[in-house]
Parts: sequence; C-alpha cells; structure tokens
Amino acid sequence: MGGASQAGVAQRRVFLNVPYDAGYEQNFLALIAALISIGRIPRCAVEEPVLGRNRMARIFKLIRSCKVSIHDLCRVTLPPRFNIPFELGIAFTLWKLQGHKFIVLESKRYRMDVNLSDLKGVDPLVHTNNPRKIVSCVLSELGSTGGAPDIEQVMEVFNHLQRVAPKLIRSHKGSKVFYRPIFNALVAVATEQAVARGLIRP
Amino acid sequence: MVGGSERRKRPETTAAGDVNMSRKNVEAKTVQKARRPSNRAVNGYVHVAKPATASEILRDLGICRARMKPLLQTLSFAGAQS
Repeated sequence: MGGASQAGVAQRRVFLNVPYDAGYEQNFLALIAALISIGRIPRCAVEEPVLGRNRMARIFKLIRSCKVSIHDLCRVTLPPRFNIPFELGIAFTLWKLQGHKFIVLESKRYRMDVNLSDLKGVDPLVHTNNPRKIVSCVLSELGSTGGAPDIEQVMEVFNHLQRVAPKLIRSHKGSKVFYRPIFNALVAVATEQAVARGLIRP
Repeated sequence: MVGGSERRKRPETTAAGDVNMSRKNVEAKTVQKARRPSNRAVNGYVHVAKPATASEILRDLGICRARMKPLLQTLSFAGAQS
C-alpha cells in the first residue's frame, strides 16, 4: 500500500476511548454501526494484541495513528476511574502538536463543566445513554455534509449488531463484547451490513 | 532609489476603489479561513473526501474477509432469524 493510501486510511481511523463495561455495550455497538456506515474505521484498545508491550505505549501508538478520537466521559463512578480522562489528555496533546481531532461525549448535560473544568470551551455531545443519540452525534460530527446516511439505515445496522452480539459472546464463552475476536467480528458484520445497504462501497 | 516613506505612501496614490477591493479580498480570505474545518473548535467536525471502502476497513483491522465469510453467513442467518 502506498504512502498516500496509508495517509488516507489514517484520516478515516477513529479511536474509541469508552468505558469497557456491560452497561456501555449498546452504546459501543451504536458507535461501531455509525462509524462503519460513514466509512470510518473504528479502532480501540481491545483490538490490539498485548505481545508483551507496555499497555500505555500501545494505546498511545493507536491514538497517534488515528486522525480523530472519541472520548466518552459518561462513567463518573466510585471508586473513580481515570483511564478515559487520561487518554483524553493524550488526545488533547496530539491536537496541540499534530492536528489530531477529538470529540467528547457525555451522558449528562453540564456535568463536564464540574468534572473537567479545565476543558471548558470544548462542548461535549450529550447522548443521555441512548444509542440512537450516539449515532446522531457521530453522523453530525463526522458524517459528510453532502452524503450523510439516513439515521434509520444506520439504526438497522445497529439493530443487526444487537442481534448478533449475544451469539458472538456465547460462542467465545465470554461475558462482554470488549474482546478482540468479538470486536473484529462485529466490525466485519457491520461492514457487510453497510455494504448491503449501499452505505459504503465493497 | 525608492525610500521607505514613499513605499508606505503607495496605497494612497492608487485609486480608492482598488484599495477597498483589496481590503475586501483580505476580509473574504479571513472569513474563508475561519470557516475551514481545521480551524473549528477541537471538538471534531472532520470531514474526509472519500469514505473508506469495506475492504479498506477490514484490511486496516487485519481481518481476513475470506476467513470471516462462514462466520458472517452464520451471523447473517442468526440476525435474520431473531
């Protein structure tokens, strides 16, 4: 693959920095469906093999290889988990240094003004934990102004993922979709569905 | 030799219309620059000229389409069934 083509692919990669818990699965499927439907390549830390490398080094390399990243700050729990804000900090640095773009998602309006007041001026997209709203946010921010797909078509892709995810989890004897083979299969299924609906080219 | 002070005087010697026109051009360029996606807020809004194809997506993730085909067929059936 040539340099120009590689650069083109990098432009379309989107790093997903989201909570890996059962409560977020539907939203994760919505993100995959929406990104594939607009011809973007979802990337996340789960699809990278460990291979003895430092976890943070892998994540940094992955974020740097993507033009855009999506950070969902909806999990404000006790004990607090700092992974997502930490990776948002990396994305912010890459924005300053090399023009990386990032999108911040939140489930509650105005909460980020309190939790992450240093980032005032960056408006988070509020999804209220609704997969349809997540699809809408992705289409609004990353969809092409001319040919963004109809949200109903994207929701059909999402509904299909919802139906196949439990089967994939069962076949891998797992409990969550945040597992490399399951993520790859979900991307393959979403891609196939998007092609079948004429959203992307084969 | 033209002195620095004479150079500064040049815009005044040209027709007023030309000066205004050039100012308009500058303003138009400034507006254009502000509207460029790269100059918008950090909060996303990145359009790509061409969406990735299915092959590009799968290749980037290292997914072999041929090897995935039986699974996809099973899953398509499962999806249609429920």
